[in-house]
Amino acid sequence: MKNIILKNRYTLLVVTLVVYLGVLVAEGAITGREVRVFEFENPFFDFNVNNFEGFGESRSDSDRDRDRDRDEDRDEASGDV
Amino acid sequence: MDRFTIVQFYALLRREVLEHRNLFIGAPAVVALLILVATSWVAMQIDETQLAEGLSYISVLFDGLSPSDIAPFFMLLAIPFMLTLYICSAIYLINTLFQDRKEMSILFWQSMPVSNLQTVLSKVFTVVIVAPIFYVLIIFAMYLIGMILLTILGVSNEVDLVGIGWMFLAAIASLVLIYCSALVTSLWLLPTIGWLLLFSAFAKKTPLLWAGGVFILVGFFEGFIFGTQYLANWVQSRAANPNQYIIFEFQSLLERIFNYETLFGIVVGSVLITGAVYMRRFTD
Repeated sequence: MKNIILKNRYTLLVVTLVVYLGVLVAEGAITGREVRVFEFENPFFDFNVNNFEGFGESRSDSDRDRDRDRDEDRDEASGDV
Repeated sequence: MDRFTIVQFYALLRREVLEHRNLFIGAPAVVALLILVATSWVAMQIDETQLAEGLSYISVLFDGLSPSDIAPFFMLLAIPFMLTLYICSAIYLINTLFQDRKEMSILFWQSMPVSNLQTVLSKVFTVVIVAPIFYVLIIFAMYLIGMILLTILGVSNEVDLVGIGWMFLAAIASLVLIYCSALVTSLWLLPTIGWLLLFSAFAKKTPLLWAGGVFILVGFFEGFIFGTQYLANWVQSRAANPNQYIIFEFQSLLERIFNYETLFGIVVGSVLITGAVYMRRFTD
């Protein structure tokens, strides 16, 4: 077993990385390690990483509103000309 | 551990410091010089009377205050030095084992009665214990020069300097906090130290690229094989809060060292350092 692991630098690297990843995944599974939640607060809008899908939906809504306003402005401008 | 082993280890540490003087002595000296020059230039723009009034105000402010209570305020001045220490340590770690093979001096060092374990541990010891000592000494020299300049200014303007003495004592107390912060941060970042040493020993070219590229690949493979992202979560939880890299009070030192996250990081770092020790036997 030792001869296989220490055969060359590549096998040693692979074994080291496997042990490293194994320890991390085992610890993560046992302790239930979760990503940290970042909440950014500012007076203009609320951005919560947990609700990223909701942010995407609200952003597409605001994009649609902005496009509709731009089309209305363009129609008014062409009507004036 | 016998006396010969201790002398051997001391010789290895001395070798590391002598071969990397620029990183451990030159770099912080340059930072200290820049800070002194910038401060002197700013002081020259201010009228001497106003400067003397400011000095008198500071002297009254610090008079009689406990140095250990006001030491944390001097940690702000240490931030450029700590950033320099981390950058220089990363450069040192990624290059140290790689450079030995590139220059072929590894054949000479392996002919010495020194094991791969002693050599790699000496490099870890250099970064964790020895390098911060030099940085602290240079910060002390900077404070001393600043103190002398303030004393000359105070004496020439007949300002009471008793409070400045208390301020200097607080600055000296902050040096202990700076060293403890560097020590705690090194233990916290032991996995990073191990990772850089592993790829410094492994790579035949561009070790930094190998270290970064494989890290990304390992994260990808974890998601692909296990369907989890524990590596990313772990890295994020260790890197997110800048407060974990600095200590502001002595009471929190033991708590910062003996907690689960630090101890688990030491276990992970030990796995990677063990890989680096075995990797050093491949001299090609």
